[in-house]
Amino acid sequence: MSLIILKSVSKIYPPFFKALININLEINKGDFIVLTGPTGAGKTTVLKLIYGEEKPTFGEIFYRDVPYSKLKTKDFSFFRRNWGIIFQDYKLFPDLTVYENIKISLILSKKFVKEMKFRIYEYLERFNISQKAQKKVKELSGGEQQKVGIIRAIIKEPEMLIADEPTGNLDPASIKEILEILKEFNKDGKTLILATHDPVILNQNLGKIVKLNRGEMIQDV
Amino acid sequence: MNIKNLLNLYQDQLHINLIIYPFMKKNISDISILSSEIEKLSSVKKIIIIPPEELIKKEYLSSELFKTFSQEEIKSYFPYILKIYPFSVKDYSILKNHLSLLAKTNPDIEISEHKIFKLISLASFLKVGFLTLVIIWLFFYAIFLYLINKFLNTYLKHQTQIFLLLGGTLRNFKFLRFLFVGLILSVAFGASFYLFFYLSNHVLSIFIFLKPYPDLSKVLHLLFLGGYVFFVIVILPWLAIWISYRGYEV
Ligand SMILES: Nc1ncnc2c1ncn2[C@@H]1O[C@H](COP(=O)(O)OP(=O)(O)OP(=O)(O)O)[C@@H](O)[C@H]1O
Ligand SMILES: [Mg+2]
Repeated sequence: MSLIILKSVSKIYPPFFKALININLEINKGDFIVLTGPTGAGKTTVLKLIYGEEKPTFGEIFYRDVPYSKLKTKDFSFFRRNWGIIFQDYKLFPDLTVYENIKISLILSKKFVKEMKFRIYEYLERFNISQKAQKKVKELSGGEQQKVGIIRAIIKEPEMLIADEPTGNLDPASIKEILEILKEFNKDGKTLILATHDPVILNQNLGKIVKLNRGEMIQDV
Repeated sequence: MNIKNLLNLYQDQLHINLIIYPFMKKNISDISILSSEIEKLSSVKKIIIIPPEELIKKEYLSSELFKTFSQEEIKSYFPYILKIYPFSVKDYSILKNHLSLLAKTNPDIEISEHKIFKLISLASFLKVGFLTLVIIWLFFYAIFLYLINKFLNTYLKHQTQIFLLLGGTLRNFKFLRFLFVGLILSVAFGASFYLFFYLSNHVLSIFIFLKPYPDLSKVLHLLFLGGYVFFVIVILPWLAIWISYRGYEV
């Protein structure tokens, strides 16, 4: 059974901007999908459709064979507890501390709640930002915020990770570290959808490359 | 709503006096003819004729008067009075129009109304006005609630979306919003009810013929009041919150 299927999906942003044109994509459990393409190609749009922030103008998306059009907001909330999403624009709560931002994710997914504190500090150590744990997110640098966004998504060990440009603001050492984490995540048989145009990542020949250009899928290796 | 009580209270006493002066040497048979003419009007319930004799009986006439004039003489100066009762408050205005026409064409006929009854035409108009006011008020109230929720949603849109994307649901937020809005409304209503009862008590002690509304000892009034309060501080806010959240959820 496929995890996610996009069937002849097109997305038109009002009034008539064609962001995606007739996309067909099948994502199986354990896949490592790398979405790539130039700026404005529609990578983020594909991910937004998958995690339900946007709805397709035409076509249908399925999660475990259930069509999205049959799902309600409540159902999506329920699924997202099991999905980890790394947003291109981070989407952190700027007035909460690093610790609190991560904590919310664990509480909502109802995972690791008992060992929460230990686990959060463990991840912060790993990403070298444990000294910032009690700082408000708006006081962090762009790269630090990106790390918090990544931790928030992976700390709950989701069944599927959706990562939009997770390395856009990081130095080479951090990128390498994150690549290791992503590979490790996928090795456990978990599904990973990554959107990036980072040549370092693309050169690694990870998983299945899906190339987009101006909203059209031009390569599906 | 006191208007309604007022109207009921005065249903029995509601009448227009037609005063017929004796310039034309009217006798009782002329008056009876006039009376039966008026009685044919569809708005008239009954007519009581008060002859001059009865007016003279009243004690406010000084005894001096009787020494100087004979009873017949005095009588000739006093008018006949027709107490004309309409069927209902609505008929009152219709009746009045008819009678004023009559009074205009006959110089010896005059209409006299109790001052308070002059208010009745106004009151029955106000009753309609009052309902309109209530509806308009509820309308604005609902719009206001909707807009304030819309404003709060826009203000919190970013946070709300993040929360939803992390797998949260808005149920608790809606509930919190409802408590927040409900609390403010309850306090406002408590205060305004206090003011209302305070004022109405004062008004009632001046105009004793008015009945308090709502009468808290009456089950129907209490039910109505309860329903109203429930609608205004529970149903409407909840609806406004619910509607305003649509389109903000992802
Ligand atoms: N909400 C929106 N309303 C209108 N147009 C939009 C909206 N979101 C995206 N677009 C347009 O859709 C196109 C694809 O956007 P998208 O964010 O998917 O690109 P991307 O491939 O993620 O680019 P990048 O590499 O810069 O992140 C862009 O041209 C963008 O201007
Ligand atoms: Mg993007």
